[in-house]
Amino acid sequence: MKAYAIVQAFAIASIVAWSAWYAARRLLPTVSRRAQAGVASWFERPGHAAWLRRLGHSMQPVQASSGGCGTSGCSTCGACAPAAAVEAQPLVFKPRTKS
Amino acid sequence: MNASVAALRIAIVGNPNSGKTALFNQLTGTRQKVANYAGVTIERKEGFYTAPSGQSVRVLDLPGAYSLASASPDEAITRDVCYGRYPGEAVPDLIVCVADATNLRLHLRFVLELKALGRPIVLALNMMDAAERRGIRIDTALLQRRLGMPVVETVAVRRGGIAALVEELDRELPSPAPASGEARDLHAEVRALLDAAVSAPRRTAAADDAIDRIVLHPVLGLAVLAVVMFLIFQAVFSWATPLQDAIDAAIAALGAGVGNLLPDGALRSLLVDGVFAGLGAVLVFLPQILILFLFILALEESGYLPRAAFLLDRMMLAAGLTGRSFIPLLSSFACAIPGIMATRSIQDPRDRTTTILVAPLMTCSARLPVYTLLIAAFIPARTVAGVFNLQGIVLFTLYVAGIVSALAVAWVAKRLDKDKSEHALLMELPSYRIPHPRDIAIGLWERAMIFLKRVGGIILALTVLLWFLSSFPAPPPGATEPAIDYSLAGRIGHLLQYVFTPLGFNWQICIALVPGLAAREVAVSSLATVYALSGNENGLPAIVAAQWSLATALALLVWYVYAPMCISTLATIRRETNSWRYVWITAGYLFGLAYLASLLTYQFARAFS
Repeated sequence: MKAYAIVQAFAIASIVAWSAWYAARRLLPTVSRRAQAGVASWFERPGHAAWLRRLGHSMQPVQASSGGCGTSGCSTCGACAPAAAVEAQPLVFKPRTKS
Repeated sequence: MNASVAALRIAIVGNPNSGKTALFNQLTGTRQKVANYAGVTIERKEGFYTAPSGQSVRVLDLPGAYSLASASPDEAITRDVCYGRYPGEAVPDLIVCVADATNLRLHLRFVLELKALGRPIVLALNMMDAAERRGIRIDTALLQRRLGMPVVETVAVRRGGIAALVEELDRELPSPAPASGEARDLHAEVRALLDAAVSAPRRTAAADDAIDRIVLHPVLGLAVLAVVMFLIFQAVFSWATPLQDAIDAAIAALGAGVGNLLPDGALRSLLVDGVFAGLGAVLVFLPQILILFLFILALEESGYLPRAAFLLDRMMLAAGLTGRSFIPLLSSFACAIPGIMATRSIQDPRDRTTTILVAPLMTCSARLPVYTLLIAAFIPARTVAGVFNLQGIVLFTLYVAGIVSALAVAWVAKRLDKDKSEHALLMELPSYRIPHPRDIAIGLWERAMIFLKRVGGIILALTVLLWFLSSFPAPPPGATEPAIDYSLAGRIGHLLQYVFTPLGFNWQICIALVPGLAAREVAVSSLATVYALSGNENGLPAIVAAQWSLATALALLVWYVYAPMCISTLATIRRETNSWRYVWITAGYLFGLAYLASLLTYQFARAFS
C-alpha cells in the first residue's frame, strides 16, 4: 500500500505540474516564456555541471511561431498569421474630414 | 519557371470574395476558412506546393482588396506586399490575380491596377461554372491578348478545377507589362475590355434578383432574418438531446469503470471527481455546438450573410455602428477573438474601436454550455403554441439580449464621442450558392476538433488545477464540514461570496467564476468538480436544479450574457488596439454591466417568485 501511495503522489504531482505549466503557456505566454528563459539561463551559467548546462540550453524557449493567435483561447479560428508576420494592427486616429 | 532552384514566390490577390482562399487551399492542400462573403481573410497566409516539374512554390494568400489605394488595415497588407514594402516579405516573383468571372465589371479594374505595377501576372478567371450557368461568355484568348497576361479559367471550389492554372504556373514566368505611373481612366478601359471580350445576357443573376426581392425587403427581409435565427436556436435544443444523452451515458460508464479499478484515494478522486465529472459536463455540449455551426456554415456559404448586414445597416447606424461591423460581430458568435481581428476590414478607426468594444457581447460558443446547462435544469422542455420549444425560445432570448446590449453600448459610445459623422455602407452582395455538403462537413469536423482540443487542453488543465485547489489542504482532524470547505478554493469561494451574495450566487458558483475567466466552459466543469467533491453523486443539471433557486439561475444566465470576457479576448484587444486603455474600458464596463444586470435580475426574480 505504501508503494501505491508513492506512485499516487508522483502521478498527482506530475499531472498538476503539467496542468500548471500548460495553463501558464496558454494564458500567460510572454510571462511563462520569460520565466522559462530565466531558469534556462541559470542552468547554463558557467561553473554548473555540463549536463546541467546542456539541459539549460535545451530548455531555452524558441521564438513564438505564431503571432499570438495560436496561443489564444480560441485555438484555431483560421485567422492566424504565418511565423514572422507583423500582426499588430494598431489603431491610428486622424481627424475626420467633414463631407 | 522550372529552371530556378529557390522556391518561386507567388502572391494570390484579387477583389474580396473572388475565391482566392479556395484557390490557395486547392494549391497547397490546406483548409483555410472560406465563405461566400467579402472579408473572410484579414491576414496574409502562407503555403507551399511542389509543381509537376519539381519546382517548389511558396504561395501567399492575401486579404481581398478593391484597389491598391487601400484604406483598411487588411487591404494595406495586400498593397504593401504587391509593392514589396511589407516588412520581412520580398516582392513576389509572380502575382496570381483572381477575378470573379461573373462580375468582371468590378474585378477587371483591380487587374488593370495590378498590371500597372509592371510585374509578372497571371489572371485566374474564377467561378467559370457559375458564369456558364448564367450564360456569360468570355473570349479568354481575346482577353489575354488585350490584357497582355496569361488568362486561365478556374473553378476553385471544385476538385481538379485549377489544373490549368497549376500547368500555367509551371511554365516560364510571363513577361510583365511595362510599369505605368500615368493617370488612366480604368473604368473606360474596363468597359472597352468587356465590350470586346465578354457577353452577358444580364448583369445580375435572375434567381438572385428574385430572392433578393424578398430577403432585402425592409419588412419581409427582417421577418425572414428573425425566423431564420429563431429556427436555429429551436434546432439547437430539439435535435441535440439524443446525442447528448449518448455522450453523457458513455462518459458516466467510463468514469464508473475507472473508479472501480482504483482504490479510494486522491488519484481516484482526481480522475473521477476532476477529470470525468469536469470534462464530461462540458463534452456533452458538443452536439449543440455542432448544430449551431451547421446553420452558421450553411448561411456563410449561401451568400445570405451580407444581405443580413445590409438589412441591419440602418439599425446599426442608429446605434453608432456600421454595416461593416456585421461580419466581425457575426464572427464573434464563434469566438470574440476572430471577430475582433476581423474588424481590420473596417476603415474608420472610431467605428473599428466601437466594434472591438462590443464584440465580446456577442454570444460566443463557449457560453453555450453554461446557457444550456441552466436552461435544461430550470426551463421545462414543453411546447409553446404547439410548435416552439420553450427552452429554444429562452436560448434565442439570451442571444438577442447580447445583440441588444451590444447595440445599446455602441449607442452610448456614440453619444460620448464628439464626432457624430456617419459612414454609408458600401458592400458587395455575392451571388447565392447552394452550400456544398463536403465543405459543411469539413467545417463541422474542424469545429469539433477545435472544441475537443479545448476540452483536452486548456479545460482539462484548469479542471485539474481546480480539483487540486479544491482538495488541498486536507481538512483538519475531527472536521465536520465537507473537505472542500477547508480547501484553498473553498476558502476563496467563501470570501468571494461577500461580493456576490446580492446576486444570489453561492460559494460554489463563486469558485466557478474565477477559472471561467480563462475559458467560459470551464465554469461548467468547475461546478461539476466542486459538487462532485462535495459528495453529490447526481449529474450536474440535477444538482443545480435541486440546490439553486430560479432567481439564482436567472442571475447567472444574465451574468454570462455580459460575463467579463476571457483573458484571451483581452489579450487580443490589447494587440489590435495597441493600448491598455481599451482593455481596461472593456473589462470594466463588462464587469459593471454583468454585476448590475445580475443584481437586478436576482432581486426582481426573488421579489416576484
